[in-house]
Amino acid sequence: MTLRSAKTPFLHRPSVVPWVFLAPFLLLFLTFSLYPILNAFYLSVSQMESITSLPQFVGLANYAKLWNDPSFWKALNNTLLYTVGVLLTLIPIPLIYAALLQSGWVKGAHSYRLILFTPLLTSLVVATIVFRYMLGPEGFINAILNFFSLPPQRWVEVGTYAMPICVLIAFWRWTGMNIVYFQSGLNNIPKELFEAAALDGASGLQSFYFVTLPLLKPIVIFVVTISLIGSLQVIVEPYILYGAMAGPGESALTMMFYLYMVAFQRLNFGYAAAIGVVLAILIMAVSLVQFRFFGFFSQED
Amino acid sequence: MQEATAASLPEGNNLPTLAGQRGGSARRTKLLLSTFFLGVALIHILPFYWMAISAVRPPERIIADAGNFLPTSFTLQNFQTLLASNPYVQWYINSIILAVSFAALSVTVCTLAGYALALYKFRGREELFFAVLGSQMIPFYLVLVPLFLIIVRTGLINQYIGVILPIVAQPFGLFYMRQYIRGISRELIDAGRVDGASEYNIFGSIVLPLCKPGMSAIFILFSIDMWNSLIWPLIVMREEAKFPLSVGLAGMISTYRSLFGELIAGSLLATVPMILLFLIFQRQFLTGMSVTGVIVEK
Repeated sequence: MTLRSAKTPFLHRPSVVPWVFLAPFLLLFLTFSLYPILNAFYLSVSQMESITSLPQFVGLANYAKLWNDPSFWKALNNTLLYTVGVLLTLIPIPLIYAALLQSGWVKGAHSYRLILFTPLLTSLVVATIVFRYMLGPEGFINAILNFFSLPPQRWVEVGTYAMPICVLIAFWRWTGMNIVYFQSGLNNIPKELFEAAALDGASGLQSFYFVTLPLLKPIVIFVVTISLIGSLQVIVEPYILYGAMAGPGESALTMMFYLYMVAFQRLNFGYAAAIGVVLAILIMAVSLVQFRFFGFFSQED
Repeated sequence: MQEATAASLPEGNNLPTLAGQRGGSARRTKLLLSTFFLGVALIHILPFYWMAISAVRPPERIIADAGNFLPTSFTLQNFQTLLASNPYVQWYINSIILAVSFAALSVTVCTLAGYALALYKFRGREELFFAVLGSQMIPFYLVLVPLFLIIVRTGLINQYIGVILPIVAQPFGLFYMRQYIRGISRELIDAGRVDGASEYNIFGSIVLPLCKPGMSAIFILFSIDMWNSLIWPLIVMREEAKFPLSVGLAGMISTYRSLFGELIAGSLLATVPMILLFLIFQRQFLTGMSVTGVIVEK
């Protein structure tokens, strides 16, 4: 940057210019991110009588209550169940799809990518409404079962299916997106590597295993991380499927759902903040593990 | 095209593709894979198909005919009831207002800040960058309660600005625009300086035009995010007339009236424009949606 004379107008001084550009972001960030983050920790050790009253310090009481709260453990358990389900389906299957669609061996591969992507364009609310009715007692899915002479199931009435249904919706919506991610990784693998592998007599499967997978590792770790972070915050699907009470026996209660219930149905803000802190710690732990594996900042100067 | 190449290659010649299989079995593999993906695609389309045929059934037939794979009847009754008994059009407008204004504001703010972080050296730059990026790790829901309290106390509750303003400063947007601007040739910018342009002119007339693809990518990403979001607008908006679509539709589920028909019709109307937009702007959409993937590659 060229140094200007001291007579330069204030807003044009080299030391001031960057801050002018930064100001709108920074002001909003401080007000609506940094302050609320700190405030959340403070609220989690406080009790509030009402929305307007000042929080009163109660120490770790909220956390102690959380430790002994069966609903919280149920919510944690459901959330982890959902997360595992998402990882087991939404990583390997789209990865294989992406590799096959990339191979040039599928006619109309591009149209398939588009078709698989479209579910993401339905909002989560709409997607869940559709699945809710398709899974109804006399719904489409039971009709298909009936077509194959299988007994109908009470999908949405029975708690056991709550998390699997949520995984199914996630799978329907996100397959296409993950294909796009994996495809962008595949595109970056130099073609010569496959040619070299083919010259060495590697079969398609062998070159997938020995060339594609190792080179895709960064993007796989990335997709795993965002899937994890997203899954741990699941709320809309169970909320729409099972309503405000989170289904029979809290079978659809997730961590976020519980936080929402505690905060906005019971108006217990301190306790809700404590749930938020636990959830945040869980998610940050996941992100940190990702940074260790993957070094998000390694390319920085 | 692909097929012709494969067929014309002599037996035993390896193709430089992922599946390095040979002539004869190649065609069989292709057929098998193409059939497989046709099946996968049909399964993924099924919910759309079901939504479309159910929406045009008379409300009393929707449950009874749910198992019927074929369109059984055609009526616009559901759409009429939907529009007559809910402020559906208003919800639609609200959703568009929220999505567009949020995305536009966020992209603007992030581009300005990304520019500063990309091109200027100043004290505290690195610390600032890592602090903002680090906050990306913190889930939005941690701040749900504190933000709600801020919105209540500042009187922003039940207002569009109350939904938008707290989430405008998106660390991801900042990060993306910073990377994007770093990719712009320094020579152009230096040339501008030699010509005596002010820093603001350089931004406005040199950098900004070059940023457009990046800005449109995150504009799409952010507007879809807002269009799809439920919980935050549900908390901020108190009045039915101010709901966005997602909140309005979610509210219809919890009422006691039997609303299958209206709900499905409303869901269909909410989905079709998005899919049309996607088919028209698919390249921009896919770039927008995969920007996070692009970052990983850098």
